[in-house]
Amino acid sequence: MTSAPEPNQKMGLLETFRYDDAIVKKFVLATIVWGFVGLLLGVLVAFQLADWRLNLGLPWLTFGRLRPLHTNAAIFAFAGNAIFAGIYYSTQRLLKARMFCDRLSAAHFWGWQLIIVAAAITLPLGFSVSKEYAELEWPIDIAIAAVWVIFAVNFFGTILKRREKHLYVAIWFYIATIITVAILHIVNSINLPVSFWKSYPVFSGAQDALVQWWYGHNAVAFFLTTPFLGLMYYYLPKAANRPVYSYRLSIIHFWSLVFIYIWAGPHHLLYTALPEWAQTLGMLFSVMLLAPSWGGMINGLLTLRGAWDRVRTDPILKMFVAALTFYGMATFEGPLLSIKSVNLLGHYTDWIIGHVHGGTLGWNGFMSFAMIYWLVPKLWRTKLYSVSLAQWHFWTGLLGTITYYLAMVSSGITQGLMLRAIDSTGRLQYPDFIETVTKIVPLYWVRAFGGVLYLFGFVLLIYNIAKTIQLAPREQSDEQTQALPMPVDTASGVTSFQKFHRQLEGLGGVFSSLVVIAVIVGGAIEIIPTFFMGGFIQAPPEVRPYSALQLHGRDIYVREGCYTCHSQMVRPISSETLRYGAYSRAEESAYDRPFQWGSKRTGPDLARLAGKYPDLWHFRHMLNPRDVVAGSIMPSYPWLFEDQTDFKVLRKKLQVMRSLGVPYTDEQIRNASVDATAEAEAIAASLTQQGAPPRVADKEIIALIAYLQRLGADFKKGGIH
Amino acid sequence: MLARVLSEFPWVWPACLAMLIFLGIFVGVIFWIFRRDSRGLYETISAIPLKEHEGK
Repeated sequence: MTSAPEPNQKMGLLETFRYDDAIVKKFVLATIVWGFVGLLLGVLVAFQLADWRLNLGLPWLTFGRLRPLHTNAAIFAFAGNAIFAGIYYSTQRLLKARMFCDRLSAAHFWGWQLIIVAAAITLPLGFSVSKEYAELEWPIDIAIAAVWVIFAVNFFGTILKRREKHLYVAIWFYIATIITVAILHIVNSINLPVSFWKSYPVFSGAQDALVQWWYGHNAVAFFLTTPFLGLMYYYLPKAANRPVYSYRLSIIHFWSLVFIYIWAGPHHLLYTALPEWAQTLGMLFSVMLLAPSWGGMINGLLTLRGAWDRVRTDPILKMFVAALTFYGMATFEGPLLSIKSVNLLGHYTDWIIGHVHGGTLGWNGFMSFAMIYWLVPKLWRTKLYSVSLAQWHFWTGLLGTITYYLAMVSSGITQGLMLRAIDSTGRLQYPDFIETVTKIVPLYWVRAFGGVLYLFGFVLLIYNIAKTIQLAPREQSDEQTQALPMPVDTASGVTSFQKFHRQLEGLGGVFSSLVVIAVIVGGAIEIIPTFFMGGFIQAPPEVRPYSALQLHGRDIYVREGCYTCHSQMVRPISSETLRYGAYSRAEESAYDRPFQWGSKRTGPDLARLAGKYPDLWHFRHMLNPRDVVAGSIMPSYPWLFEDQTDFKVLRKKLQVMRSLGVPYTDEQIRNASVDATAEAEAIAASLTQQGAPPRVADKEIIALIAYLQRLGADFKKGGIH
Repeated sequence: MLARVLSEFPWVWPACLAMLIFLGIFVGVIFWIFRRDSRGLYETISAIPLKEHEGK
């Protein structure tokens, strides 16, 4: 299978071979390119929240579509390429072998870049399944799975042909990443297609919520944490030129983290309609996560023992220290926010956004920057162009992160406190949601400024790296090295127990199986019961499936990314039932594919929206939110008043929904287009009577209004008890 | 039938079971890493990143 030219010239016992550094260079350059795109998008959406006019009235530039693009670009394009660069470089050296197959490496690289480009095209066009960090539609999901398998085969193939018997702890973290991300991605992406760019998930409502946040949380765990910890265990000792502080601690760190992390997903769903036992389990394990996380942080920081004087002058070590410090902060704050009483205040607010960015900008960002500054001079066999510029990058990046974080935590706590404030008469102190929004808009400007600082630092990196590569010699070849073949343990005096351990630790397959067991145990105990939820979360007869027009309106809601700013989940606490109405029940979401409980309330919850406002209010609101809500920061959606509803596709949508278990009758499916047209004409006629322009029945805004007027309608009719 | 059994299952037990499994793994790992004669092995392994060119 090995297609790489690997001249194994045996010189005695030594074998001579070359590392594949070309693939590492490609991933490094891709990291830099996509890092700039991801950060630029982040700054743009930050300004859009500060000033709605920056949405420009263009569908593909509106916040709801760009926000998923920003998160996908930052996580899977920037961090993803950084991970692959770091893994390809360190794996070859830790295993003393060239990558298993150069063609697989190339397929991995180009496949991943194509997926990123596909995401960059489809998300602004509104092709989204609306599951956070898993928004991409089914053809791209399949491509991701295929490329990930290529990566896995290449990685495990390299383990098989290695010359180093022991698998260093960094490799363990890479194995856990590869296995767990594959499981998470496949389970969370099981959708049934309606067309090439439209699908519905097989899970619905509470099931979908649990599966999504089992995935979503562990995307953070196994894409933004475990691989970066693996990188930390390799690159920090290299940069500090001393071994990791405690290898024993790294083993405890690894197994505790892998086992605990997989359970913590439900902390994203505290006080929702998720079963209480799952919420408790999520909270419990989230709090426990503090221990292994801090074990890893301490192990990293103590690796610098005796080298702290170099931190003063070495920007790479500075970045490692900052990354580990932010890792420690984020992994303290995460368990804190998972405690139900704290979560009550922080959830749905900017505090969560601050928490996430403390981790991504601070931990993932600085880890990636440190790695790039360390790798590039070695890969291109030159010196860093300017240490001074790297120092400037560090300080601007640090200042940007702190500015961003403080603005968001202040904003989140401010809004959280305002939203739950009840006066002495038992009424809401701030009954209008918009009061809490206008209060925090100044902090959105501060956040955007923090983002600009961070981006400026990254531009310094781009310039510095470009000049460094310019300085490199023109002639470049892969690094040649020599190593002994895999040793056979025949030494006398080695006990059978020691032999057993060395074999176990050296067996990549056995080790991988243990990781799978650790991950599956956690996943199974949480996920399997939800498969049987249908037995006790069945919709009562009063909860009707969406009409064809409402379903289409729901798809428009999903397409526009409304879930990025609006939840559909009233929590069972007095401030929310006073503001929105009765708390949400799991049965209400029984037909929701995908679920739309949301995770952030830049605008109010919509679970009880039905009948709250007349159709004309929604009509005017979507055309220009400021017409009906003074001070609103919501974008305008003028294209919904021009684009026509595709009535022909509705039949197929209902068919797919019925195959997923939604009780549509043959007649409803057969008459989907006719029924939807009639419903749309009734809404349009009513709107025209109220003063709206005529002939709007076939416009998308009508379908959206039909959906919005359905939210919570079954409950209000007494269908839920 | 299965759905009914599961719907009436006292689901406090998954949390307890999970805690016990984790405790078992944690204690097991602690015993494992502090077994006799393991110090030298871990020192060797922890030095792997710093000895990439030992064969030269």
